[in-house]
Amino acid sequence: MFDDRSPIYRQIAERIKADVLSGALEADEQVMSTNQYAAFYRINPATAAKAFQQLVDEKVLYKKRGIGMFVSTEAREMLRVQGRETFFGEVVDPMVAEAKAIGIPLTDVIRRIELLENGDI
Amino acid sequence: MRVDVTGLTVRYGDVTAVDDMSFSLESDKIYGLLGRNGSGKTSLMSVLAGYRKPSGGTVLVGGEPVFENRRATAGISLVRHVADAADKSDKISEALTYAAWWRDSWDARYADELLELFKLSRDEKIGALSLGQRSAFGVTIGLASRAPLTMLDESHLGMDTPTRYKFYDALLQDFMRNPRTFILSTHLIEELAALLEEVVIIDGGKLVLHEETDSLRSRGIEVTGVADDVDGFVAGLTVLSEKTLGRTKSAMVYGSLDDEQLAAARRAGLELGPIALQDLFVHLTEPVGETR
Amino acid sequence: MRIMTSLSRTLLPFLVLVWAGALVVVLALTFVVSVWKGVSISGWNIAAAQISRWVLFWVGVYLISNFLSIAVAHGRTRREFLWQAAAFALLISVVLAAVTRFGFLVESLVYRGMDWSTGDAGGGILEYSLVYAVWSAVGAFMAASFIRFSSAALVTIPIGVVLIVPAGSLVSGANSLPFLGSLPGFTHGQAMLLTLGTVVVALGLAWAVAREMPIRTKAG
Repeated sequence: MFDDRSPIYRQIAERIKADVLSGALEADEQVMSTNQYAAFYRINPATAAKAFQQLVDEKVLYKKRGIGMFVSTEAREMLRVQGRETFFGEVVDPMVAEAKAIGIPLTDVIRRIELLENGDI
Repeated sequence: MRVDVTGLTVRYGDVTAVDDMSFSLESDKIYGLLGRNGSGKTSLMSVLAGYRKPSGGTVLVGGEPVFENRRATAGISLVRHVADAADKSDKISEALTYAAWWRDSWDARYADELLELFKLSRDEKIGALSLGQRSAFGVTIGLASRAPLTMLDESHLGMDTPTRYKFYDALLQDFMRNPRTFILSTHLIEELAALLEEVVIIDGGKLVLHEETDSLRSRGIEVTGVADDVDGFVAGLTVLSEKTLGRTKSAMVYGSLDDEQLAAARRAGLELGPIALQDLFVHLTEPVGETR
Repeated sequence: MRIMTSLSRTLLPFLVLVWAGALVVVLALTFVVSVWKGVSISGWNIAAAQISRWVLFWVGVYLISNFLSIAVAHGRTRREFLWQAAAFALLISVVLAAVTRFGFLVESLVYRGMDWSTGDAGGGILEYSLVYAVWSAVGAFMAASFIRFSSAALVTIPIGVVLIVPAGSLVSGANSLPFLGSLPGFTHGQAMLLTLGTVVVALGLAWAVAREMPIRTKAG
């Protein structure tokens, strides 16, 4: 579930963003209510509300008064753009550093990426 | 129900259980009262419930002084680990009768639901219950009292894991249906932490901190690296604990770091990591160099 | 009045039943005794004078040791509980005094039928009411003292004994065990007034001790 090492509201927001990115949550799809979310994950409703509010502020979700919260139409595209901005810094750079540290030649890494891309593995 | 504690002191003879404590709690939130055994949790809550008169200072609940004031106490329920609202020779059904007599906000139907949830029989004598069952019965009394300020002291004691989860679920559900102020005391925060909006940590009868649980989660930082570099970096910061392994040292720091400090850590090649809430709590209630 | 009415609803029928059961047992024992020897004293008088006082003492203890903390745990104040419990104690004292008197009536009918002699036949409703009231008030005072001061409350035992002395002189059969006989130099009326005084004093002491009593965690 959630770990106790970083704010839970941030973990919730990250999880919902990941669902939007992967397509598990589609545009204009309704998300769980704060109370449903709190009951399901056994967390304080105020914490869940804070996460949802952050996602509304970031325009990932939008509110329909009296009905609930929905994934905004542009959410996925927006998150993809943001993801691309941080991808190299957060994913590729540490991977390269790790490969060097344990002695894997970068050519091997590149070959692996090509195999994945061509669907050979 | 709002709670205002000002300069509260509770003494038993020569022993000071609560020492000049002040804090305020807002309405309709779930609070955790954390402290080790003997830190003064039960004494504090006993005064908040009017079970005992403060030796000094004031306690207001909903703006009213609590002790011997029905306007305050009618809205307060405290369940200590052994239920106060029953005698050991009473049957559960009798204890429920007393609650129905004397607690104006008592919800008998909800009490029945909880008994069913916890698989407690009305014919059972309180004295014959296991510790976990007695705790579950305490939770039943506490929740069904529907008091605007409900305090549960170590209410998970002796409950097995499935029962604890039932307790947490019931608590959350009822809190969302009937928002009110809850204070849950515990010295095991791991499981309970996600339920708590704010925590109040006390130690040796004094307030250590009162903070939103989620911000507390980002308050602890573990700094790891070469011993000298770590020492240099943490100088002037609040260090909760340190440990060394060979040339490597790791220090737990309490507080948040600004961008300049983060950059300095990166330059020195120090590794920064988060600290679990439970560890943070353990170290906050155990000053450096002191073993208890 | 919620506390007084709820206490009355449960404890009053229970105590009346206890009295009725005691009457049946006393009459049965009287018949058993009559097999060996002639009946010349009132069996009910012994029960009424000796045992009943201790039951009322227990009621006083029970009110404080059991119900006070439960009432506080359900958000009632000590003040509210104590005055209603006092009213309840006075109420049951009068009701049980009437039941006691009724017991004498039943017994006298049986004795007349069997041609036995009752000897000395107890006191009136007012006398029994005062006796019961002071014993329950002393019970409440001593229970509160022991809960609040633990073993230091041993000093309240002589106070309790002094408080029940005048009551012992009001009804016959109470003058043997466990304490003193009639008060020398007092008329019956003066003894009644004195007993009324002890009721007030015992209630006042119980109030003083329990008024701000902490509710402790019950052991185990």
